[in-house]
Amino acid sequence: MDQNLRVLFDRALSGEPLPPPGDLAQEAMAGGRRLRRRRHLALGGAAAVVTALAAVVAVNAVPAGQSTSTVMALSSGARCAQIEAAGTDIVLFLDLDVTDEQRADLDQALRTDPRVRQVWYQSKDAAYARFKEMYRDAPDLVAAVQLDQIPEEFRVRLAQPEGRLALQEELQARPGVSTVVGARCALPGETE
Amino acid sequence: MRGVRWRGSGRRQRDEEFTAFVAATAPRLRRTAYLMCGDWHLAQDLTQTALARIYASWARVQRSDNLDAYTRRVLMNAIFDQRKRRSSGEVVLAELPEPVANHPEAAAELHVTLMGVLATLPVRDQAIVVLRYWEDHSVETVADILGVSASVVKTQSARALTRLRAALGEEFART
Repeated sequence: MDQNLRVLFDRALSGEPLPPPGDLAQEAMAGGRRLRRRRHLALGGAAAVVTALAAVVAVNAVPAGQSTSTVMALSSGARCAQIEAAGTDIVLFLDLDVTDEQRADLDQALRTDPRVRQVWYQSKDAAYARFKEMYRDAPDLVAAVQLDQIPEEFRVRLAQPEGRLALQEELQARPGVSTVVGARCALPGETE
Repeated sequence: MRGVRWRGSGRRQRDEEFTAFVAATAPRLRRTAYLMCGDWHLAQDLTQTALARIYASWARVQRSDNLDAYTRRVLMNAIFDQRKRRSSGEVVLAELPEPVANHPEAAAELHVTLMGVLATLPVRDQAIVVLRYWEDHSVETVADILGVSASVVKTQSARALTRLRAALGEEFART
């Protein structure tokens, strides 16, 4: 059967016309260059949205309260570049069920710490508003993330970069803190 | 993202190598594409699409040990993409042509029947049949090209052959 199949296939191909005029290789290369340019653009532009969408899937898959890390990346990502090696800023994402007392204690501790130069607080509402603004081109994403999934955050500018990792670790251990990341942020009043 | 930018100095050599690659592979790709779609114009377009995609990754793939299988994979994906686009706007005729045993005068046109029956198979099974029995690739290579397991290739090609036999008639099966 196999042998005959091959014969039949060859016969089916017997009406093969001559290739159309034009240089196939040249045309393929022109097409390939267009593909590369498009791919290149897509890397720059769409990557952030893709990451964000992936995060939303994760957010929806886990119960509220355990998923701050994904949402915080959404609400804070564009203005703070996450940095592990160097940087003078820290972002603290608070637990979704942080109590008023825990928040007040943290605020107090940060403002009295000599290693800290300045502190900003961003409420849930403010973070959510900024998230919606940042992703206004992705309505599905905005629809998928609810206000109660967005964490509050403190942004902290250090007096000096040394000792940032040690401070991060200290803060991570405090009640009400979900995640601490080293960052370089565009703080209020600064140009990004 | 290594390799995103091509350096100008190597470009001429790269294009020469690619042109040689096209000259060596395009005729066969076009035939494979024709067996999958039954239309020489479309086969030409699909071949060009596949070659453009290959050129877009040429720096990475040209040294590949398995350029042949890679090329088939890109072509098949181009065909699958095209089929998906087309199927959204077209009714598929799933009926088998009548066995040729009932039409002895058509026996000389068995290859027409073959193409007709082939077109009624799911597209992946068509690919398995063409790669296996016209391109003559091993089960393992076909599995690699299509990204499925070897056992899928075996079971699906057995099933496809059964349907082809049924349509092509007893006469054909015995020879």
